[in-house]
Amino acid sequence: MTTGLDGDPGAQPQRTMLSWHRTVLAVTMGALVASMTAQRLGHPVLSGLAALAAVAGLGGALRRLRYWQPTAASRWSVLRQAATAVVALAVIGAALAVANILDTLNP
Amino acid sequence: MSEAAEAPQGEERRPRSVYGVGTEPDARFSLANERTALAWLRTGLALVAGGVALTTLASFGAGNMFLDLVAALACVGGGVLALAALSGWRRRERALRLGEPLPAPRILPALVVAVALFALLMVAYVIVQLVTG
Repeated sequence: MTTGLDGDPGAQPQRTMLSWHRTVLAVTMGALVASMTAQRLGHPVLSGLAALAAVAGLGGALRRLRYWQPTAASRWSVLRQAATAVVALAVIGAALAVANILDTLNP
Repeated sequence: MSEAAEAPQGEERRPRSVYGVGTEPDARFSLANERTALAWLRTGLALVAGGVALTTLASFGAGNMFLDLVAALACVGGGVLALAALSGWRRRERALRLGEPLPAPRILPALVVAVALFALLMVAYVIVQLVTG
């Protein structure tokens, strides 16, 4: 049973859901910014990867969040998915920076 | 939403290292823990976004290896923060279930040092740019 939520005046589930939406939105925006940056720097493959990741991540996260509940089994998996998306974005960002360094070294 | 809400009830709750111990805590505390993890994720994301923005900045002109290096470090730091968000969530949820005191955030000192170092590096860079003009 879910203790603590009966007559809960703090709207905890709603706040948590809004927090989820902020995070998913931020990840999607981050991926799109990375995609545009990659496009500008002349790495179309990275750009496409980032854009695809943004769309796939957004769709997957929203679909999984439909099953989100204070006691649902899927809470951990969707949290892990979001963290994986941030790590993937970090890898793409670092790859862009390293590619830039290599371009500077061998123009 | 109603049919969706029933779907996962049959599954076992994972990770077992968290849900296998202790008793179900007050749902509000568990939800607060989840929001904390999400806030850490967004902090990591901010670092990654800053790194990507810096990469764009570095690409103006003839390229700037120093800025690219700082950008790569920021991106890696963001990725580390995302992993720390997961492990921190797990530790706090375990403590909640076991009724133990909440653990201190392990990654916070590292983040403070990293941000301070980042700021100092950028200040040094600006000064060098001003002097060498």
